[in-house]
Amino acid sequence: MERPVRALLRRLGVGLFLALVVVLTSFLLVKLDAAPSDVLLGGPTPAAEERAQLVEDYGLDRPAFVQFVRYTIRVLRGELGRSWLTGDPVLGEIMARIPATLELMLYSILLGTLIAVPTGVAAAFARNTAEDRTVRGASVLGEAMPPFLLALLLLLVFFRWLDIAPAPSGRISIVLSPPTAVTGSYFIDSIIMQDSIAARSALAQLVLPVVTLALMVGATLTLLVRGAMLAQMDAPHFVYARAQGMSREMLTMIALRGALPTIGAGLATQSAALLGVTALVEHVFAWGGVGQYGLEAMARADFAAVQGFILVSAAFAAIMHLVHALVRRIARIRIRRA
Amino acid sequence: MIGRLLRMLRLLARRRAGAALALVVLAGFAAAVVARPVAWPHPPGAQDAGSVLAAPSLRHPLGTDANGRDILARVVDGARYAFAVPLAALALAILLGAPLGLAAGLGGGWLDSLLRRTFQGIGLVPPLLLAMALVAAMGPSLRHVVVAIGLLEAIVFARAMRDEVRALHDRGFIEAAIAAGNPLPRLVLVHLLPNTLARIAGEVPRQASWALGVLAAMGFVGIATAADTTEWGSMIREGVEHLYAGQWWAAIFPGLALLVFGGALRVLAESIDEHGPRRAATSPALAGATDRAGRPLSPRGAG
Amino acid sequence: MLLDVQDLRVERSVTGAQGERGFEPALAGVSFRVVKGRILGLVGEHGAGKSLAASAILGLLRPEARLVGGRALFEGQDLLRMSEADLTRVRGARIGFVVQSGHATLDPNTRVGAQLVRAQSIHRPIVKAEAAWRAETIMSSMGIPEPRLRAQAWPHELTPGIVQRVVIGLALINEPQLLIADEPTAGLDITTQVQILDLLHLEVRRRRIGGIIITRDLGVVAQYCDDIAVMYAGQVVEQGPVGQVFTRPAHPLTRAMIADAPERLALAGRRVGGPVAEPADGCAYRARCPDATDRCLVAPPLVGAGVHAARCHFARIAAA
Ligand SMILES: Nc1ncnc2c1ncn2[C@@H]1O[C@H](COP(=O)(O)OP(=O)(O)O)[C@@H](O)[C@H]1O
Ligand SMILES: [Mg+2]
Repeated sequence: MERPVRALLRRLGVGLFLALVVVLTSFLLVKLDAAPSDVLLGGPTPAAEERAQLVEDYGLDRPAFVQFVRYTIRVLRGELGRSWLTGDPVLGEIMARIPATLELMLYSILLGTLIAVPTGVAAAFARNTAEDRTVRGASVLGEAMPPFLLALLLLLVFFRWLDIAPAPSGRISIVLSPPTAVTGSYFIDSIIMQDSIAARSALAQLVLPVVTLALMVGATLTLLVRGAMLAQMDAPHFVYARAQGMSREMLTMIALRGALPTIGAGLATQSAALLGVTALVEHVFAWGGVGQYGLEAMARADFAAVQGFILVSAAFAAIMHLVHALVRRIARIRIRRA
Repeated sequence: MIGRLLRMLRLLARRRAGAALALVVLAGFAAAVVARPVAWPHPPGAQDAGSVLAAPSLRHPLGTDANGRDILARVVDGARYAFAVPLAALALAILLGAPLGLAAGLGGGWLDSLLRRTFQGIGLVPPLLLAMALVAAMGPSLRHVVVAIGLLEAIVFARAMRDEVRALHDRGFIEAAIAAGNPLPRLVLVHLLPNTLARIAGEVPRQASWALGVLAAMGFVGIATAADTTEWGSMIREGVEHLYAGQWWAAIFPGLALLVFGGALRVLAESIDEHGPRRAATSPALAGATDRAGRPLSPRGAG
Repeated sequence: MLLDVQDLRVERSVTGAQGERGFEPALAGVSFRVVKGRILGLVGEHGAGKSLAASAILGLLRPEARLVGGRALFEGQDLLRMSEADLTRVRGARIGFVVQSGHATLDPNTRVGAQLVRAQSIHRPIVKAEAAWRAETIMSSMGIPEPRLRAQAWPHELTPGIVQRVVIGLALINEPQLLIADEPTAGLDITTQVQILDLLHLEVRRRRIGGIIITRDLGVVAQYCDDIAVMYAGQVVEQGPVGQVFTRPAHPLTRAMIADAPERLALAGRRVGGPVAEPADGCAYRARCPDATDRCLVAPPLVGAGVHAARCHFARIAAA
């Protein structure tokens, strides 16, 4: 009983430390600015009493350490301040935009995996042939592709030239009103509301941003799948599987099964950092998600919003890593129990 | 040490056609930057009122932008940023990161753990976003871009350096050198640095490509500089509205330059992963990408 | 004649110091035969090309190696010219192969019993319950205690000896005509080695099939094999029935190996001398040969009478 408890405590300690580092990072962001107070004080021209209130709240007349402690306490309470642009609480603004971003990411990860796994597997089986080289070349190029450029290229071809994709104007056609929020996904909500016109529009709006992100995810993931497959294919048990006369399908299953932990880890790592790419894609498509919100906050030096955004993106990454650790643990227990 | 580096590049070029091509591409950009002032009639800033947003033609092979400026001249001029910003950031990153990693690796113990956890915590924020937020906080200027990227990449180099030093330590290399009576500075300069150089150098192309991507993203979102520059990301931002109107060249050509330049760096990085000094233990795709716990070691890929 | 390998030639890609690519011969014309009901011992030092020869026959070469010539007639069909699809139908069904890798040959992510069932399903449609029953049957005939329990185990839960029994069971479950076992006892303790070899020997005899045991140990050949082929640097340097070769070894390498591993039949593999760079032409063994003369600068022919032959200028082989 002794060891698990200690391990748990240790883990808890590490988690707390990581959280502290993240909060400190976000705190220091504002300290970097030449005129920190102005930044926090609700924009360029705050009213006098408002300013006094903020100085009091943040302890701006106190030493930096005290400011940090106060900031940490506020963060713990979920008080991320107000955007000077809108005057609304940052946390609320971010929460309202999360479904849009999650929807985009979820579909992209799914589609990206759907592209990457078969492609990576095929490349691994065709090791060092022209087919393999083509896949690798395309993936390396994809990794080098700035996400916003890919988005623009797709828009140029499918919106401007072929005119089969809608304008990059958000999550639903501007002439339609969004469906009543149930899940937060315009597409799913439209279906629930049985509004087929809205559903079709929401779906059409999704296509290009999802394809952009999925290709970005797919490029890295393809290389990862290929590498993990090759590592499996060099293992003695795979050679033995071939010696047993297994078909390509059976061999694929065996190698893929062994490669799964590596692929899962890669996927988790990628998803944890995906908000960066997503933000740029949201920016191009005026998606109205968390990412676009964060980038706009940066461009306008809306610092409470930037800080909130940074905290939320770290929280998202932490959740991704936790989910991954949990999945791994469950998988391992299943094997050990037998 | 330079000789060793050159030899490595030569070996790479010979083994991999891709790496050779990548080096040629980069050299081509450099040559174009140098040759442009004498070889090309249109300066990047010169406005041709008669041809605003003119399509590609013989006179302007890549067309002109909304101010009637020659896009070819501007794209070539923009390569200066593509070289300078990642290089400066890399210099800063190595100067900051290598000593940190050295200290962590030699010191071990709590210092090592503290740094590792701190980096891990910072790494939770997608590096691209953190770099952008840093620049937003410091204010728009190329110097701030360099600092932000350099700070984040310092983490990568610190980790690489730390791992190398630890590996040497675990092989008894360091104890042996100390037992042989080497004072610390000599140990570091003569024994450790040359042994870790290959790993550091191997990271350079990948980090340069990441830096280029971040710079362009900042330019595209409009937080890199306040000025009107030929940095490719900024050029793309200015061209976007015309792209929707059909005048695609103002945004697409700087974009393609970005893709080709970044692609060359990626190809170089990829070849080093496969044939360089440190062949990845698991798979090329994973090389340097994750630590034991599967967390990212470097701000790359989706970052 | 079950398997007749003739003049098997394989090259391996090599990367020079300057990064240039080239090919060098790895198997320089290997020939041997396996007869139904008999076991051939393929013996030689580490790196002689024994595994390479077995892999080449079954089309399991890694990308860095390529086949350049020869024939491998298995029941009259040339395996080297078979399509991958046809070869797939031979592997595991008509030729069982125990690959060299200690106990890392089982799929770590599948239970042992399920692997035995899967192996049956590769080559013909199966009824699940019947296949499971057959899996248990073969496990018990491989001498695995409590097969029903063990069938539920994951490979990492079994001892190396049991794993190797499972691997042999897998190779035999589709009733092949030929069983190839590549260093089947490497890494096992002596007692287990003897048990595994006894098992292999018994199964080949009982099923009246052909067998190849690849080993570095002459003692194994003496005790368990009917014929022997001694390999050195990608060539068979001596072959013949075990009795004849052991009583009248004709090649200096065979003599050295016999002297090194005398009648005590030591089971631990040992190397004869250190690795030496093979000369580019002439007799590959001459750099290490105590009897080498100027004649050895010319590649020696295969000298022999009938079934016993050696690749040496000085071989004197009396007709049996
Ligand atoms: N399946 C294979 N594909 C390609 N090369 C192989 C294969 N098996 C062995 N080799 C290579 O052939 C050479 C001879 O080694 P090997 O046949 O394994 O020797 P032995 O089995 O006699 O110890 C080695 O360089 C080895 O890497
Ligand atoms: Mg072998």
